[in-house]
Amino acid sequence: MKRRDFLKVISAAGGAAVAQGCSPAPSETLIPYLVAPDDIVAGEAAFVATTCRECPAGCGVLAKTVDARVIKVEGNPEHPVNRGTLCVRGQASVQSLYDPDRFRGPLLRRGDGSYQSMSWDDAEAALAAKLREARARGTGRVAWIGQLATGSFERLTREWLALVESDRRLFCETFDHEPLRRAAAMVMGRAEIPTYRFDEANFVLSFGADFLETWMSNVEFTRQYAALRRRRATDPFGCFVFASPRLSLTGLNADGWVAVRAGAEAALALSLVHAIVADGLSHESVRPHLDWVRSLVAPYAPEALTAITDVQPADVHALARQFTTAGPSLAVGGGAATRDPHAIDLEVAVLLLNAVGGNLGRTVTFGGGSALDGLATRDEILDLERALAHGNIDVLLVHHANPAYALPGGAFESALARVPFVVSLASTPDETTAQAHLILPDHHSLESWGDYAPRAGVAGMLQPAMAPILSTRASGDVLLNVARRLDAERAMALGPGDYASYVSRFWGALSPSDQAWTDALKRGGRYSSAAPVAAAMRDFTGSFPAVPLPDSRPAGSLTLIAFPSPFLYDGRQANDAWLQEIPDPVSRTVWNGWIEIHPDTARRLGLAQDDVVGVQSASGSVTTVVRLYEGVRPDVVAMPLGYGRRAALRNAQARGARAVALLPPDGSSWRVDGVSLVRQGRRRLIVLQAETEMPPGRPPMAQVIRPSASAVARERHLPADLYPPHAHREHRWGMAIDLNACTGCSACVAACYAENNVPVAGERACAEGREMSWIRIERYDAPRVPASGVRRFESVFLPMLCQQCDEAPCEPVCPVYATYHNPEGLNAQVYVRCIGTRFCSNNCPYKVRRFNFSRPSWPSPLELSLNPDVTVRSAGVMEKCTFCVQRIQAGKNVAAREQRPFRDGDVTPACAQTCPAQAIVFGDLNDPASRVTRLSQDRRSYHVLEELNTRPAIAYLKRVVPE
Amino acid sequence: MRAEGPQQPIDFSHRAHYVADNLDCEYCHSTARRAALAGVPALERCMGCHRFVATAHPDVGKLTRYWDRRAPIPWVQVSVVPRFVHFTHEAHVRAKVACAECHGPVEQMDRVAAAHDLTMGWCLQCHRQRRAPVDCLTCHY
Repeated sequence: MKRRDFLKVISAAGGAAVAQGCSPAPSETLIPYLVAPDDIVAGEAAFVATTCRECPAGCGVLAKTVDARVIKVEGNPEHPVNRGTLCVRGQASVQSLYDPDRFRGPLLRRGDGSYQSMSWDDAEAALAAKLREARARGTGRVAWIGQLATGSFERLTREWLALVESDRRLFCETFDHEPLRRAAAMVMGRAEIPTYRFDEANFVLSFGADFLETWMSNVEFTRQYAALRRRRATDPFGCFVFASPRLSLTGLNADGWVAVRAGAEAALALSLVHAIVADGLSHESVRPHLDWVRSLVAPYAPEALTAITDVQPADVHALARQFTTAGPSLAVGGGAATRDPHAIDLEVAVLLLNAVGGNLGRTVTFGGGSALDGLATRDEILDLERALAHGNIDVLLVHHANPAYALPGGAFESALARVPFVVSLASTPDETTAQAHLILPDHHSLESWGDYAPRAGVAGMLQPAMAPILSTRASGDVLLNVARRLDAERAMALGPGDYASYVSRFWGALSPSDQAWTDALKRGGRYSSAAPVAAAMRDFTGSFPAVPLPDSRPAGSLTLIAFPSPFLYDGRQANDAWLQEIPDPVSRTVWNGWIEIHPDTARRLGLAQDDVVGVQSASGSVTTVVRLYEGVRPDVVAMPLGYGRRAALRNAQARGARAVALLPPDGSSWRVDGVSLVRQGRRRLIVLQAETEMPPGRPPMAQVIRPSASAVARERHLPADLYPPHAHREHRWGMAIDLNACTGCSACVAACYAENNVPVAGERACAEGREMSWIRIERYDAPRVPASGVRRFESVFLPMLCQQCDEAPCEPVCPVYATYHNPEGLNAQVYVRCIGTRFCSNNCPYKVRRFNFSRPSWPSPLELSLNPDVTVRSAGVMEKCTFCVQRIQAGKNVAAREQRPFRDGDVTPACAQTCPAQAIVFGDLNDPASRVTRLSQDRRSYHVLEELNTRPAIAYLKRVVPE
Repeated sequence: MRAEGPQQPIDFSHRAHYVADNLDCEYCHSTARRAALAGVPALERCMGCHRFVATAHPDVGKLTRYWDRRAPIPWVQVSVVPRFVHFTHEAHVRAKVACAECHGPVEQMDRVAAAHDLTMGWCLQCHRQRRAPVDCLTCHY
């Protein structure tokens, strides 16, 4: 019996019932398999290698399945993009899989606008009939707009569209990097996304590119950036400067902030090139080009641009020196600066900066074959929009794209209304699907066959980690079935069988047991490294128009910029409850959108935190809530993208405001000048773990160290104990967290939710301070250097979880011995014994214990995501982190099974496993050779609240900040 | 110790399979040695023999009908460990705890009954005797 057939049997037999003690619903019967599968043991985890499709980065994942259902995803260590780690959105993909709002089957819109469910057979017949009509009317009357696809699905859609006499196919992403591709075409003669190596650079200068959160491939770049920080930990000047009107999470990680005026990023970058050339700092490789480069940037002397950029010439010259003397450096551009009338200018200037810095061919290479090169341009989208509006398209298929929400101005929505037949292949309701006549829900990517190659040489595989839980159908199969109904003869060209066999043929599999094919299935794809091509800069003076510099705006005028949400991305994951409940790393807000305003500006406008404001621009108006933030320029207000969803999504609908509504309708810009704010009332914005200024005069929670600091002995508190110390005979579990590597991305928090069945408390409970997460990211800001020069905004992110104290204040106060010190140094919490006095929580100085004030619930089918290895706690019970004790027990069991001693690395808690920066290290402090022991003895090591003599098992390594 | 266990959908006799056919426990409960759950045999395992053996027996007839309908047999659970206990067969088999120590003389039973109540005190007496871990986190997490 084949694995897929087995999955079908299991799904028919009621899925989870095969587990005796582990299924979430109590079962008093033992349901055996009909036919035992070869590769599944009841109750034991099996991992399926597939690819994350939450964003175009295409990280490899291992889906952890127990009894044929996915309970968690982890990074695939073999995948070159993410090497075993995942971001917060990747971790949350399990929430999308079990999203209670997913479509349960095909739907047809009735005349009155309501939907009726129908059979797949009828649905495919309906589509085939419409396609037949469209084809009869001529060529190009069917169009496809969808998420970025490569490989087999790219070919299938192309071949399928040819069958219906069309080649109108657009792959769309909200964050499409089109200006970069156009700039590369101008500067390098190659219209493509370069490959970046942050780990090879010694200094990074980002013009608003949020490469630690949403920009291109954040997991990969976080890993590379952490490597850079580790390597440059002794550099006195720091290694990362962020130039942007707003500090994003990425910006908060920088050593310096150039608060350039919004829209003037291109001018600043060009003035930097000017300074580098004028100061004789340019790299020798660029010498043959110096003459034309000098004349190209002649109008942009830093001294002449201060009024436009609001950056002092001295700072530009200092930055020029830092950028060129560090060895290979790296400049990148992104965010609102690259969705701007000056976006191409900025990207050209950034490439020019990399050229004069000698970075081309080192930290910036070409020929990487990025999948992003396949994205539609804005002109192509506008072209399709016109075709739709003019009635030139009879059938439009929309595949995991949401242009009605993502595109500003509403023109696409009205064009959509002119299309006679819109077919949506979405999994969940969205704004575009609301206008569809026929909804043919696709499987979730964790239930699908397919492939995705984020770049040349990295071909990731998608294979179903479990049988579909709903009556959905793979879009690939829908296309094949419809093609055969439409034209059986011509459909022969697509080959026999279902989409799964189409994929395997694409991968060159000769048979299901083909060695190369099974190898790809096991490893999650095929990986090789593509050598970069030699690419040289060319003289583009002729095609580069003199940049019309932005006018200096009238004093007091406000500019709004929109930025990608680190968690909701462009809004596609807004319905994942974890992403709503985990505080945004910058604003710390949960369950709502906001507008960031500088405190000085708010004071001037008479606004305060939590004020509800109407925001008005030339294009529209929205209502949102004020969040004061010193990380925006006083003349800028900022709003996250991804909020204000209209679709019927229980966690996303009407939360926050849709920033897109304020932007220019042509989609050219995420910046709009001359916005006005009017106070309309008050509504408390729920903010968890708000940022804290480090208090003077006592040891800060989050500590920093200057690179020049010598190896000073750590301050030790004398043990003052009435009792003998704990023995910890065999193991003493401990953790080391490197604050120099931690970026505050919050992937660990999502991983903890998944691993430990942490319930989602909801908006109201969060407002009452009753959130349940066992690990949180705290942010501490150092007192700021006055607003001149390259400003410091020293922020330290501190992951806070149970410190597993040796002298734990929580332990002695428990009247029923539900919490106690275990022989391996854990502050154990026995849920069945807890009677809920909450004494332990009151006594905990770290505030890491969580009490179940109400009975947690998982709206169906989310209960299928629960980890059977962890007890689901009930109301009235205290719960907390135990270093993933279930993984410790499993690791010890494996060592015993293999009849060997426990080794360092046998156990990795969920937080440490997923950390893209690998900032968290877990191990046995009794083992003198373990990584955690060595790190705990590092010169940067300290304990939080050491002065309380709690003697935690978690050592933090101080963040290195420049002199 | 109860004399009679619950009524099962098929009157399966452990005694008959052990005594008459000399089958080892792990022939059917095949994952006890390597996993947390001992495993209830798949119907395919039953049919492997009963396609040919004792086909005239009325209970084998029931079994065959389940198989023909592609329906699993809803066995009634006899040895129940509460949900908040993370028990693993593997560790106990490794420690050379005989099946009968917890499950009783199943090989003598026609209808299986629980031999012990599997409460924590009962577990702990054995853990203490054998110097097995008695830390709460061994089983409760």
